[in-house]
Amino acid sequence: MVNYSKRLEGVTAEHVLLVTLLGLAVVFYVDPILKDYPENATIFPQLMAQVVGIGSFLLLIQNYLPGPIRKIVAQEVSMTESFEDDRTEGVDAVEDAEEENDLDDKYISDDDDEEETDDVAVKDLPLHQKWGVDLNNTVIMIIFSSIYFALGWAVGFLYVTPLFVFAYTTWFRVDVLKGAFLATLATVIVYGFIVFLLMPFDQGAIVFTGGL
Amino acid sequence: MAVASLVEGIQIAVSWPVIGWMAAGLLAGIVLGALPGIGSPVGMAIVLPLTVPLDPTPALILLISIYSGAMFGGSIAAILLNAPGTESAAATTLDGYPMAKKGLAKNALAIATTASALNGFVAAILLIAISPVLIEIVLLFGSVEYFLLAILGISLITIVADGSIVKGVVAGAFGFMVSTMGVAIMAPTPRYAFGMLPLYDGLNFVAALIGMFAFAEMMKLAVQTQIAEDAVGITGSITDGIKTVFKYPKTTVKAGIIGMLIGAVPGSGATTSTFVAYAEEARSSAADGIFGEGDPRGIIAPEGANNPTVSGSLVPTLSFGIPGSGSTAVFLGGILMHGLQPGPGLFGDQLHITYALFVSVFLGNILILAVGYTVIPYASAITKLDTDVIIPMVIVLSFIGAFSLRRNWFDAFGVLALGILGYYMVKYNYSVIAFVLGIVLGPIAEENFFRALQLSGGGYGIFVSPSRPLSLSISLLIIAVLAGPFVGPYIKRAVSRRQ
Repeated sequence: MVNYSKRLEGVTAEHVLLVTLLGLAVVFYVDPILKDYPENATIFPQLMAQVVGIGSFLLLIQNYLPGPIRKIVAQEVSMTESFEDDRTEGVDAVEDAEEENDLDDKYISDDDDEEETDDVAVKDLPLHQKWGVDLNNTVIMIIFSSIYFALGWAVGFLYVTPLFVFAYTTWFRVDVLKGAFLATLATVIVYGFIVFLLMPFDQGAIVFTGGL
Repeated sequence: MAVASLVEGIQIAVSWPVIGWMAAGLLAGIVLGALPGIGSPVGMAIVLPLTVPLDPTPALILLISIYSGAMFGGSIAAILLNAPGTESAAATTLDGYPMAKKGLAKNALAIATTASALNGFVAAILLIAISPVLIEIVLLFGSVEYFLLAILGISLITIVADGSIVKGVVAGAFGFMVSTMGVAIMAPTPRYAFGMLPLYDGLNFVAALIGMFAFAEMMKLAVQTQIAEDAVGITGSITDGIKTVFKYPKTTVKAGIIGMLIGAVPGSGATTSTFVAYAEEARSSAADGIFGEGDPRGIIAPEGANNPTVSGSLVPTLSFGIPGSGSTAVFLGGILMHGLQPGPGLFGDQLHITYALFVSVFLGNILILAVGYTVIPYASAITKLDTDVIIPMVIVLSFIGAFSLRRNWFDAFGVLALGILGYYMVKYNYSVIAFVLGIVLGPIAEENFFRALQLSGGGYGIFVSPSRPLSLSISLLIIAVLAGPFVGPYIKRAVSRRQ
């Protein structure tokens, strides 16, 4: 019997990316046929869809391809081989420094406050980590940004921007005064767009539809 | 015509407020370049939609000044923190940081400032000098050649990016594919709109640039490091640092030539040129060098190469619309957004704009020199900004900037969607620059492709026809570029066996 859960464990974000590309390629190839686009408007996108589709498919099944084709698909090439050693050394040095300054070094837990020194400006743990939620900071950033975008569209960016900036900086334990200053600054910038570029950021699609 | 345009270009570049935009761009570039994780592409992408109300010339001068300033600014973080502000400054960390750790941070920063500005200054003069030749070359190209050049640009980027060629090709073709959304150029038919009105305009390439560079970069930055931890003190002597550059004239000149030549190769940028310059210096001075331990030549070489790369990269970007890096891709976006066309336009009727850009690069390097020496004692302050302070501000500017392009919510959504896509593309080594180049050049490539097919009556033979030697040469070059990495080792082995 096929062990599906074990197979799913091997699925990475790259597989999802490739399946998405493959799906989009199919849509871009098929849509002109279904909707009967004029030929002039069809050739180029269909040609590119074929390249994307075939390329993503090959990358997706690269582990099952015969030797020579697999080599062409998977082989990483470098035009800069001659100085690769120096480059690697340099990049390694940078990466080492980055690894040393890992997430754990960036923040300290509340209990460790007394260990903070003037030389090393470490911060408190972000709220999700303080609450024991094991989520990557990038995921939190995407969640914040998605909510900000959705509310900005629904209510208007002018009203949502100060809340977003203050909430984000508070979540990541930036000094409250600094957070308030940034929220004000961001609001002034958005207001500047309304006044000088006549952008309707004071209007939402659902609430405040009439603007200021 | 060229002389009159040059005079007009100089007049524009030194006029107010153009020179003010140049100074503002340089200062912003230095600060952005000094912030690890930000760098010139992010800064330029955020500023791009804000340039909409400006005339094309000051807008482009502002963008190129940010690029030029960031080239120098990147060295500040590289030397003081061992974390390059821009990718192109990574080579500077190799000797810059060890030198700073020895208590010679001021010397290292002064070397970086002098080498970067001096060579940038000379390269800008060379750029102006070779422009009449460029004009002649550019005018030889037609629709067939421009389409093939777009393909060549993406092909070159895929191999310069040091990854799987198939991944690079897929990224580039995906960019081309996405660019076809919206009303077709050659037939008034909305494509891939799926009945949604906002999609009739397609995806704006500036929104794509903001998503791919600014938003995706913030996603990376969200998990990145505390910047201030490894900072070293600002001690040493600025004067001794300046003198050091003149002590090694051969190194300085060689780095400048490498920077300019590599910058002029479509698809390669300052990251490549600085490492090549460093490697070449380490090779040629191996006997008496202490590379990796604070050898001043290890700073002169990459820093002397970075700013000439800006001048060099303007050649393919302005002549053929092929950028060599993320920064030049954003710059190309600026050119197109302001209604200018790379190629015959910028080297014909709008030659004065091109010259104004060259003159601004030249003047900008003088300003880098002045500002650079002034900021050295305070340089470490720039690098102490908290990433959690930067991220929300960049997100706000990204969304409102993208929406402001066309008052289209789809553009703001595109920032979010493409930002996430860009993050994973970088993570799995798919060339973001190839993708962005595809989106930016898509409409031009499709138009030229369509015209070429019209010329040939629908046959693809026109791209390899011996009656068009230029297009045949470019086609062969594309094949060589894509097949080279696979066939090259076999040829090498066969040659060595014969010997």
